[in-house]
Amino acid sequence: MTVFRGYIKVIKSNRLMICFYLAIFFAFSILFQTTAKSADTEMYQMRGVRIGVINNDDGALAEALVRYLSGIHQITELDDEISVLQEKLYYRAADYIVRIPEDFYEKCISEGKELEVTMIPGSYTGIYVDQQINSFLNNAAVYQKAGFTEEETADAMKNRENVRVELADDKSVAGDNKDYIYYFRYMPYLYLAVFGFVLGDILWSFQKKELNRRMMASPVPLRRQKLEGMLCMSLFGVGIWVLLILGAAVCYGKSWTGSANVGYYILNTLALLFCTLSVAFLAGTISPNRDALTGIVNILSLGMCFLGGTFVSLDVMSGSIKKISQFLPVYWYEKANDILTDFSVMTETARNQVFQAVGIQIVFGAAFFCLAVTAARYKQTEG
Amino acid sequence: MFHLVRYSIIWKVKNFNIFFWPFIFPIILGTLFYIAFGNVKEADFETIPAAVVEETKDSRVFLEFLEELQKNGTIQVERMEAREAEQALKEQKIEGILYAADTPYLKVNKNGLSQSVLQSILESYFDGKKTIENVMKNSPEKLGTALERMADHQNMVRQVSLGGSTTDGNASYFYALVATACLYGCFIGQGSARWLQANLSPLAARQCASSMNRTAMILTELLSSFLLHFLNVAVLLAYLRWVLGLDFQGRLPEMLLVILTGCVMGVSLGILVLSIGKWQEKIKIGIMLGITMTAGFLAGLMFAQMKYIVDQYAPVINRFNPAALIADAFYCINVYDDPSRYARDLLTLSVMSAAMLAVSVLVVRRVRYDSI
Repeated sequence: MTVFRGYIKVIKSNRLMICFYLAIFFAFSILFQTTAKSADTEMYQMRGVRIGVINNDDGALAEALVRYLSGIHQITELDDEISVLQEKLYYRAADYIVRIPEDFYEKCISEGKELEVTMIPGSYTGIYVDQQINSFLNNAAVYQKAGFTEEETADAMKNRENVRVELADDKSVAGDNKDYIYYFRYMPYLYLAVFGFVLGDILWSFQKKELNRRMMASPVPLRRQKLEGMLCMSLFGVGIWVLLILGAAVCYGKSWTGSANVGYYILNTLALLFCTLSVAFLAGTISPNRDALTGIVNILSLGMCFLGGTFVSLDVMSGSIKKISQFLPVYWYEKANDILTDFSVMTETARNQVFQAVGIQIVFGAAFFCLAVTAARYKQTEG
Repeated sequence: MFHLVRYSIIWKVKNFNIFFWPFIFPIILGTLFYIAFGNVKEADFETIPAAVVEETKDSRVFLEFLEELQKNGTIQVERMEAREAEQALKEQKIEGILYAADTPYLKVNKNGLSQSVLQSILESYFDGKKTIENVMKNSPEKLGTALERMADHQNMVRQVSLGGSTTDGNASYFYALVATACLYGCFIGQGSARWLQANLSPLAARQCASSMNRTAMILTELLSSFLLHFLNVAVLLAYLRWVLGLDFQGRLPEMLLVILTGCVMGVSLGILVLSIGKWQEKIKIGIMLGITMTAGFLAGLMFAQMKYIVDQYAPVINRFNPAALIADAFYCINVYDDPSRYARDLLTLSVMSAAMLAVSVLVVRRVRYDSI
C-alpha cells in the first residue's frame, strides 16, 4: 500500500487547511442558526416585524396605535433624525417606520390625511403592516363618524377579540424552524472547498513529471496504483462525511437523530459526497498548475454555492436564475434539503421529489467522474 | 522612470496571483453576488392562496369581506369542501383554511408571513364587526353613517422616502466587495516587496545588485502597484455600475477617490506584511488572506448586517477596519449623503496607509547583505 500511504502523507500536510474550512463551516452554521428567528413548532405565532415609531403626539389614539402595533410586532421608539432612520432601514434594524404626527387624531382621522410610513420598497412585510395600520385607522374613522371622541375611540379599540387560529394536526408539515437547516445547507461549500483543495493537491503532487515516470516504472501495476489512490480519496471523503454526520448528531441531538427524515438526510449528503468528490477529481485533473487549481476550486465552489441555493435560499432567487441553477448538482441537493425541511413526515410526492433530486446528483457525479477519467487519460497520453 | 513603471506593470500582469486575486476574482464574485441576489430587493409580494370552507349557511358577510380582499390581490380564495381543503393544506398548495363558521377561524400548518397575513385579515374582520357592534350600542342613530364609512375602506397610509438614494440592503454586499477588492491590493504590494528584497528571490537579488538608484526602484514599485490596482478596482467599479447597473450611482469622482485611497491602503498592507518579520512567505500570504477576509467579513461581505452589528456593539473595530471604512465611504456617497463621515473615512484610511508605508520603509531601509 505504498501509494495509499503516499496519498495519506499529502492529506496530512493539508490538515491545517481542513481544520480551517471545518472551523468556517461550524462558525457560519452557528452564526446563521442563532440569528435566524426560531419559533416553537407546537405553537402557532403571528409573525412580528421590527417597527420603528416616531411618536410626535401624546394623544390617546396615538397611544392606542402604538399599543396595537406592539401587541403584534417589536416596537422601538425612535428620534426623528433622518440619518439614523435611514441607517436602521438600510441595515434592516427596522423593517418599517411609522411617523405619528402632532395632533394625530385631528390630522389623520378627522381631516383624513394619510399617515406617513416608510418601508423597504416592495417588501412583503411592509404590505403586511400597511394592512394592519389601514385597518386600525379605518376603524378609528368609523368611530369618529359615529360621533365618538378621541378618548372614546381609543378606549373602544382597546378591547379586541381574539382570533382562533388552529395549527393543523398534520405532522407531515414542519416549517422552517429547525435548528439544523443551516448546518445541512452549507455542507456543499465545505465539501467543494475541502475536497477541491485537498484532492487537487494530491493529484498535483502525483502528477509531477519525475514522480509520475518513477511510478510508471515501478513493479506495482498501474491499475493497483489507481485503485489505491481511489480508495484513499474515497476514504478521505467518507471520513469527512462521517465527521459531519457525527457533528450533526452531537450538535442537534434528538431533534435531528429522532426526526423521521434522518435517513433521507444521510442519503442526500452521501449523493452530494459522491458528486463533490467527482467535481474535485475533475478540477484537480484539468488544472494546469497549483495556482490555477486554487482559482478553479474557488470559482467552482463559490459559483455552485451561490447559484445552487447554499448561500442564498432558493426561495428568494428569481425563476430564470433557478432554471440555470438546475444544471448544477448543488441545486438538487438544496432542493431535496428544502423538501426535508418542509415535511417532517414524507408524503409520497415529497419522497419521490427527494429521490429524484438524489438521483440527479448521482448522475451529475457519474458525468463529472467520466469527464475526469477522460481528462486524466488524455493528460497521461500527452505526458 | 516611466519605462520602469511600464515594465513593472507588465511583469505584474503576467503573474497569476497578482492578476487573478486583485482583478479577476472580485469580478467573478461580484457577478455571482449579482446573479444570486443583485435583483432580489426582497421577496416580491405574491397573492396568498387560501381555501374557504363554509361551515354555516349564514356566512354571507364573511364571504363578501373575503371577496373584497380578493379584488385588491392580497389573497386568492377558493371555496372547497373540508376534506379537499385539508388535503390542499397538507400538500402546501394553500397557505391556510379560512372557516366561514358562526365565529370564523383559521387553520394553518406552520408559522410564516403568509399565515400571519391570513390571521391579520381575520382580525381586521373581527375589528370591523366589533366596531359596528360598539356603534350600535353607543350611538345607534349614527349607524348608517358608520356603515357608509366602513364600506368606504380607504388607504390611510402614505409611503414616504427618508431622503436617501436607496434602501436596498443588498447593495452593502457590493460595497463590501469593492472594499475587499481594494484590500486584495496587498497581493500586489507583496509582489512589489518581494521584488525589492534581495533575500526573498534570486530576481530580487539581481535587481538589488543593479546600478539603479534604490529610491527610484522603490518609487517605481509603489507607483506601478498603486496604478495597476487602481485600474483593477476602477474596472470592477465600472462593471458593477454600468454593466450590472447596481447602486453605485453616486458621484463618480468621489467614488474614484475612495478606491484610490483604498488601493493605496491595500498595497501598503501587503508591503508592510512582507517587510516585517522573518516568517516564510507562505505564512505571510496566510496572514494577508486572514486580514483581508476578516476585514471583509466585518464589513459585510458574507453577511450584509455584519457591519451594522459591529457598529452597534464594538464601533471602535469599524473605525479602524479598512474594509469597513471603504464600504462606509461608499454608503456615504450612494445611500445617504454625509460629507463629514465620508471625509473622516478617507482621512483614517490615508493616515493608516501612511503609517504602514513609513513602518515598511523603516524596516527595509539600509538593508545590506553579507551573503544570500
